[in-house]
Amino acid sequence: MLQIDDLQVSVEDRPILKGLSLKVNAGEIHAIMGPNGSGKSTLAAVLAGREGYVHTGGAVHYRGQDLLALAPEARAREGVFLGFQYPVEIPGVNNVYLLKASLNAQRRHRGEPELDAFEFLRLVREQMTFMGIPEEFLRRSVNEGFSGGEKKRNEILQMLILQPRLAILDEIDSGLDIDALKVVSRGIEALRSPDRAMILVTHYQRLLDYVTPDFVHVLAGGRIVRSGGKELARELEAEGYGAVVAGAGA
Amino acid sequence: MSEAAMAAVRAYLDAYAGAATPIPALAARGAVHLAAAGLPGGAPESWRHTDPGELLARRFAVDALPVEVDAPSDLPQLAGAVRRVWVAGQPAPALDAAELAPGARMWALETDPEGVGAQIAPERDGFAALNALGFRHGAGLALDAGVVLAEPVHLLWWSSADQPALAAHPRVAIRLGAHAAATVVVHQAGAPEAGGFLNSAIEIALEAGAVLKLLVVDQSGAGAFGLSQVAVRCARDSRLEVWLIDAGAGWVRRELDVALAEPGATVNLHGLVQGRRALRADNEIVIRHEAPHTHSRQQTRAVLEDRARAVFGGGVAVAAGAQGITARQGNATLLLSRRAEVVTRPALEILADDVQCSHGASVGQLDEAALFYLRSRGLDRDAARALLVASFARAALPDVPVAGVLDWVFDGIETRSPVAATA
Repeated sequence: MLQIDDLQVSVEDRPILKGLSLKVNAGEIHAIMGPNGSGKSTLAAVLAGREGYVHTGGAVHYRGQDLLALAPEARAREGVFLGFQYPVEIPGVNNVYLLKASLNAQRRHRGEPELDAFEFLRLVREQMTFMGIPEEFLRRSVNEGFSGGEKKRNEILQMLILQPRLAILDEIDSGLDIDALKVVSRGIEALRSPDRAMILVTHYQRLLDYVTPDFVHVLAGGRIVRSGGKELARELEAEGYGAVVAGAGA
Repeated sequence: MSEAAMAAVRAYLDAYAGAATPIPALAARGAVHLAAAGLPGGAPESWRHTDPGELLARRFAVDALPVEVDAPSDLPQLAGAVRRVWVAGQPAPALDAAELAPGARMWALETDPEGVGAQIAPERDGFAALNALGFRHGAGLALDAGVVLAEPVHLLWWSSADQPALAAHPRVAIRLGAHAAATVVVHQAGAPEAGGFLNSAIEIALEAGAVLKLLVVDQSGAGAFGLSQVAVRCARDSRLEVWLIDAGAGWVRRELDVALAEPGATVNLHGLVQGRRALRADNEIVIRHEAPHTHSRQQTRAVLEDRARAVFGGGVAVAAGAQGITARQGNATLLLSRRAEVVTRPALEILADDVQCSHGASVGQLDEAALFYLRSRGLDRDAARALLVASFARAALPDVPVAGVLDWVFDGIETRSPVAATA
């Protein structure tokens, strides 16, 4: 699904990712953990195509294509989804309108007919119920005036509707109280599937109490310094990043 | 006065000399003041950022050809509206639609001009004088006390490309009795290639508790000049809701003067300049808080592309003794081209001490973070950009009571939900 080889990325001439390699297969959930400033969010942003990140070396292949050569919208239509750490407020653009435009952009790309308003609303309502999002949400602008928890639920709702092949969730757990964390985790678990992969970027082990990853990687200094199973997250929680990173010799 | 202005004044005086006019006394005062004050002949400060030179250099025909009665297929329409149409400044009754409910009266102002000039006197400035001199046709609308008009009134001045570039000086008089309510769309539009000069004077009086929703819309073509003076007097507890919309391609100057004359009077103003090509739009707004406990809000926005230019003069004058008032004004502009330009000029004159006044202005480009967010959801760059621009613009026009007006302005760019649109 995703193959990252020796990826090097700079922001404003400052190297952030310094040779990161990672392989993600369909059906897998990977957690990428690391201290602040380790490059976690940079990795998520680069995979989604945000501007301002300069690719200085290495390669990223997604389903056999050179991912970095694609525009952000082309990546989205190919099934890559970024759940934002800080979802953007867009006053005046209606939530449901964006959902419909996004879904139809993908469907057109795949040569499928656009959903009519009725089918679309049925789909949205079903997923909103699942995510415990109130009806009033339909009439609100994208993320405008949403609490931190509402914004993250909205990201997951978008993901549930768009059904990506590869979801990258950037600190989706930050700023969530325990109830919201459970709802968001339920949304993530609902998408677990043999033909889908997910990358959870997180600072804390907390999310992994609710979503069980297949692999955990520790990112430090722009590289993955340790990889392991879900028990690695426990170790991080118990010993802190300092010990784990030092032990890895980074 | 510049030589060009003197030449323009002479040309207008010659053109209208001896012509039949519905209000001879008003025309005579206009001629005298035009000769004395010249053009523009108003407060020089309010003209500092708009050059009338191009307008003054142009010569316009003053006698319209007979109006074609066929409805131009591109004539903008509003479903359910009571419509009156003037083509090249002349009434076009064949294009009118629907009649008013009982208790409301609309008439050709030239046939019953009682009270005309009370709020916009010929002595106000050169263009008011010119209007008084050249006035031929207009609209009167009066509602009896307590009458609430369900249907909007659409007053349309249409410029047809079949006519030579004409000067016309329409007047509108709107009087709402106590607790009456109406929605009025004052609309100037034309074929893209139509030119001309519309120099309008609009006088509005709201009695106690009346509510007027007023939409002033300009969609004139690139060769058109539009100058309108709008004067509103608001009595006790009356409310004026205004939407000023510039979405044409010509030269537009609007002077809106609102007197909040008695306690409880409120004005809530929204403005949008949707500037493309070489649109020049100047909105000069003055809100006069003449009485205590009056309230005003002005929120204007501009989206400027190409070589468009917008000027916002936001004046607030608080009279001595007008305590307990609130006055807020704000402008936000999205500059989408390096050649586009905006000038915002708040002007506050406050002679009372217990007041709350605020103003703010911001100028920016498209939010790159929002653009990326939309693209990351599969919208291509152009679609994402158009959506952000339209949503910024739409937010300038909340609560528009006549949805059809938004369709004229936004060229069908949809930002609303399929739910909200059908609910």
